[in-house]
Amino acid sequence: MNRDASRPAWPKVGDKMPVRAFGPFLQEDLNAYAVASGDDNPIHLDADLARRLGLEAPPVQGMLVMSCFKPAIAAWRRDLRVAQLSAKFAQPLLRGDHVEISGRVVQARDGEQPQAIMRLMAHSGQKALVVLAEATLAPAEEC
Amino acid sequence: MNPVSSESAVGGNSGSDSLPPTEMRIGPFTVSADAAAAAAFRQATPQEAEAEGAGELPFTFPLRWLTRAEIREAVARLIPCEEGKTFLPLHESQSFDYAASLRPGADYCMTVDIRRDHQGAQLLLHSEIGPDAGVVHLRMDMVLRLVAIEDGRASAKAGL
Repeated sequence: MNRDASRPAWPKVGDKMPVRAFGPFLQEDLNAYAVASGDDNPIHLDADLARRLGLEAPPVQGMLVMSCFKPAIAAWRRDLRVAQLSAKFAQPLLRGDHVEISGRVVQARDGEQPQAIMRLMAHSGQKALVVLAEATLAPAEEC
Repeated sequence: MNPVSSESAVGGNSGSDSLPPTEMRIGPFTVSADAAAAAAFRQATPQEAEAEGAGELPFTFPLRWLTRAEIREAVARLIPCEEGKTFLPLHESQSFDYAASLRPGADYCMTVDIRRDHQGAQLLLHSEIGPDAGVVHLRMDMVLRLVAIEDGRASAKAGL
């Protein structure tokens, strides 16, 4: 059974979603995320400890950065659902910086069980790769 | 389903009193998120809230359940003990694999397996969450890199 012809075309290999910026992430954002998520690792909250680890400022929680991928995809295509998301935290994003989320479709399969795989990246304001991720996308109606 | 927070060391060095275990299983135990917790999380991750489906928990919310006291204690037991060093676990990678959405107010059964790698440089956490034992709606995998703080500075092992 093919997908409803009235729906947007299924993503194709090479399709890119527009770059979307999130942040900047201030200390108050890190503090609020620590409380709401339970991720109270002191490295995110204690500037002295961050310095002892060789960082100029506390790093933003990796999960706070990772939480930007799904909305970036949703802003691009509301008809897609993120079924799987995996991420590697390449280097710290420091307090005060923002991220720019980009992504490109690297595999796509239409038909009875449509699926697409996107390679996702989060770059800092200085264009350093902060997070490399991959999402498996399915039609939103199957949620 | 009763809220059980049993933990048992399995395999590895668990039979020795002098050496820390290398693997532990925590659970199954019951987890849930009420509307207030979900709302607080949305407020701290406004970017995620805008993409959320109606009646769903935020996509990354279940990570909060890994901060339960019994899991923190298990992580602490698996961190190597070396005199003069303090190890800080840092998040190296994370994955979420959803078979179905999770709903606010619903009870879920969660199990967590934690393993320390052979070099003692990483902890690997695998979690399964579902409405009942054996039914999985979400699988999560996490890698924590253990950064040694020695003499006030991160050691070479830390890679920082």
